[in-house]
Amino acid sequence: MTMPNKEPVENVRATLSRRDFVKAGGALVVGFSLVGTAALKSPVRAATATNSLDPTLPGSWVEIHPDNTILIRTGKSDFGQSTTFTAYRQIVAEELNAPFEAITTVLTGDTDRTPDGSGAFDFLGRGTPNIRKAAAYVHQALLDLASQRLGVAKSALSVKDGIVTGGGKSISYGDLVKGQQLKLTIPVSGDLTSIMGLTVEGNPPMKPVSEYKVIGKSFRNSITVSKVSAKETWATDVRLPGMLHGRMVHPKTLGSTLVSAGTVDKTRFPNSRVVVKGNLVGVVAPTEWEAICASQQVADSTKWTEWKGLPGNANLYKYLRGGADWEATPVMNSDKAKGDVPAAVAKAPKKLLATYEFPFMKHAPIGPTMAVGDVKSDGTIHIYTHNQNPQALRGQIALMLGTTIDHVVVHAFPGPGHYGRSNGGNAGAEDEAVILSQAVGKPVRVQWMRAEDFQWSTQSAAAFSDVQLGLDANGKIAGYQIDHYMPAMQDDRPVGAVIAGLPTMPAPDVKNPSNPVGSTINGLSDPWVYDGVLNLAERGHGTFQVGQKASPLGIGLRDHSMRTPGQFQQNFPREAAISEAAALAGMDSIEFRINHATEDRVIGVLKSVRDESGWQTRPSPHPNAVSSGTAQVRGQGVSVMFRAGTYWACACQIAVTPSTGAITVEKYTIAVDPGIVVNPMQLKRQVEGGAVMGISLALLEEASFDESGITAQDWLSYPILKMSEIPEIKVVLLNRPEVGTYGGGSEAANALAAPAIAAAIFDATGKVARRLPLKPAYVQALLNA
Amino acid sequence: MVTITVNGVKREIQSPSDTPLLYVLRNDLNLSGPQFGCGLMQCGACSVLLEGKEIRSCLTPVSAAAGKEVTTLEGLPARWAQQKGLTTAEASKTLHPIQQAWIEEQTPLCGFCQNGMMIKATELLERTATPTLTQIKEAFTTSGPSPHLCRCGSYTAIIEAVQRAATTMAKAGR
Repeated sequence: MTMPNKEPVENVRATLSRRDFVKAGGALVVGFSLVGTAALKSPVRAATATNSLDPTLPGSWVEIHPDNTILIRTGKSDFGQSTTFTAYRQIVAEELNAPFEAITTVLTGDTDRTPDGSGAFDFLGRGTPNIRKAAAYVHQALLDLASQRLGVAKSALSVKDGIVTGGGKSISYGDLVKGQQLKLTIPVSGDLTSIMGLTVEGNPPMKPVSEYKVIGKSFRNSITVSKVSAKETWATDVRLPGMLHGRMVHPKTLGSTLVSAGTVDKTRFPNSRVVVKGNLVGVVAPTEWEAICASQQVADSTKWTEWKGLPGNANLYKYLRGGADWEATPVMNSDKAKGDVPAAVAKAPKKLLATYEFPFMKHAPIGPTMAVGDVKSDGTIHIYTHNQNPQALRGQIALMLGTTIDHVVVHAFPGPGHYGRSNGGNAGAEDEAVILSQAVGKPVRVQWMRAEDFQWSTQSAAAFSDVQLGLDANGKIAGYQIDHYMPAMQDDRPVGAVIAGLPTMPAPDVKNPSNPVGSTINGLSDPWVYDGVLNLAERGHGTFQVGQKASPLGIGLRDHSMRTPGQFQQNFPREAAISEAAALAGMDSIEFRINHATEDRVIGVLKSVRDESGWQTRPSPHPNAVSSGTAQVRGQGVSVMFRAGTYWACACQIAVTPSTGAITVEKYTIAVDPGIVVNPMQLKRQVEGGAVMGISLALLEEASFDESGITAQDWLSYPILKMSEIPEIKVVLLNRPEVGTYGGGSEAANALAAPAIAAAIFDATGKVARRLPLKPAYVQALLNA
Repeated sequence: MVTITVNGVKREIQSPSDTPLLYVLRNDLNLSGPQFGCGLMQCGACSVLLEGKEIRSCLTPVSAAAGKEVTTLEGLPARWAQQKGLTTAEASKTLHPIQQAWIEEQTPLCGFCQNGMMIKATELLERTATPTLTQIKEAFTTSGPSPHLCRCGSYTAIIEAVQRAATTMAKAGR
């Protein structure tokens, strides 16, 4: 085969080159500048016995070079958030008082070259991500060193642009660390290969917000240049010497076991080979096209048992309410619960009793999962992939093969967004690439095809919620009660290992206490924002994954957290119900929300979308609302959410054609108050993207399934929003430095659309929509009813 | 054996002639611009220009490109340089204005679909120098075998980048 001209370990990320790290001796001592220039440029990695960095060493996080350049490392992988390449550089530059441009290298994801693990979520750590604390510790150690070197008290030193000044003397960081060693131990806690990874502990002094110079500016994402100029090494580009291409022949249904594997027609595919492990069947070949064609031929002659153990999506909510076991799992209660809701509702003059339904949705990355697995003869296992949590994958692969994590290295590369699907360690192809590689003794690249990516991946959990509320004579909520029902939302078992019968973590169960991972517990994840309500009850009911226990494979409909996980399922019914309650009270739905909120920041985002969107302050429905006819009718809707330190609101204006049920979102205004805005341009792009995904989820998305498995298989059977369908989008960033922290800026944007659009349908037509997605057929039936 | 011209260079292809062009470009010629998104001509991640027209390489057999000119994302700077009559030295330092606009507007989120978006933008702006918003949306939605899909939702940023590229290309005299 043709040898590649790309060497994956020399992956160059934009202007930021990846460099190797050589650890200094002594567990608690690190030399910041002990790495020579030659070593820095060498593509050969420093071999260590553990294939891990010591997270207690400052140099594992921040490395300062004699030339005043700085390297930072993070276990977080970029999936399009840009944070590691923008906000993290800004945050480190700020804490070190160094120029943004001095941070020339950002090492992300690789399990042997980054210290802390964790998934690609919550990058900003509610204001104190690991990298910020690590940088703050390093800054203090640098000041100690400068104090010694300059003979000036630490308190008399100041730092600007990476130059320490005091007592009439000054020295650059680069000169300061030259040949020096810093005594510093970074305190960490946690489990490296768990979903949360390690956490930097303690409270190092951090820079006051009032002195920020770098945070708040719109720096560009350094990886953009290499991506748009085709110079990036994506995971899809990795080619290893001797590598074979693999394609999977997945079971016929989500519960089928293997009767007999097909054989390769050697006259057509002389170089292909079938691999069977338990119920897992794969085909490998030297070229990709042969692997594709041969796997199709083998699939045609492979025999499976039949299985029909799923309710089918037409019966989903009937099954969830009547067939699922809600008794085995403890009910969770809101810590904001207060008063006596049943008593308050009983005597309320106006009541709302409603059920809201939320379908299975797919993460649907634009490229299907792929990975290169390389099980070497020395017992080490290397995986090259795009994964939101490489350290967790490392742990899962070690468990699967009965080895220890020091034998496993995960090499992280850019790839398509996963939106949470791999934040627990796998997206689907990784373990299968390893299984096939082990079987054939060569590196194997497994690429799922489009249908497999819909049918064998996890999905965002379906849910339903029952709401009861009562309004008093003044139109205020006297009591509010919501019961959320959702199957286990995070199954991190690698699917290939499950099919092959190899060891994995257990399927989600009552006994697994580590909510949300592996637990059936449905925690309350949508923080209540209407503190003016005097009687409140919120409960979370959990159950097992649909069909999983009945499946002979132990698979069924596996779920996984997806952008705004759990909270989306809980916020849709809450916000839809609040809009209905406002209508019941005869009040404008923004005014109604403001009347029930006490926090300034909740009120702030609501006022912002009211003032910025062209909102008409009046009750719903619109005076001209109609639910029939071929002429478009227009309506408006609003929603609000608090997530990860950030307050969000959106207002949308839509047009509905009653005769067809077709909905067009015409204008979409979204207000974001994260406290401190770290990078306005990047935040704006994140919010716009989340808004578009959210409109897509609300209007179009539902993973269809029958009694045997997912029936969605491509972009026609699982459509997503097209460019022609986007509204005018207005993003309002509310920078509030006085808050003192920065909240998350990506998740939540996708969840706001659904309840706002549902409310706008009511505003336009007078008919209430309580089920997603808001597809024309559903809306048309609703309006005709 | 099939001979195709890729980014101005004649290439003799050893792979079977029914091999989709995408696998030839990625695996035989080591070009990483076009991506595998669906293999069904439904998303546009694999787009390349064939004789200046945007096609989906994932289902187009390499034989369909025999004797023809293929331009990938890698070839956009040289394509622009040739159209503008730039010297080789100038060309080596430049990106296509479309790529530059994608940087200025910070368009990509994950970026996996953006190859096809920039290829489609090139086809559009070579034919319609100053497209209206409607024309841009039409180009990315209905002009090809399928809409160009972005799961991250970067459509607004794509529209702004196309408009920016149109302006810079017009200033450069086309």
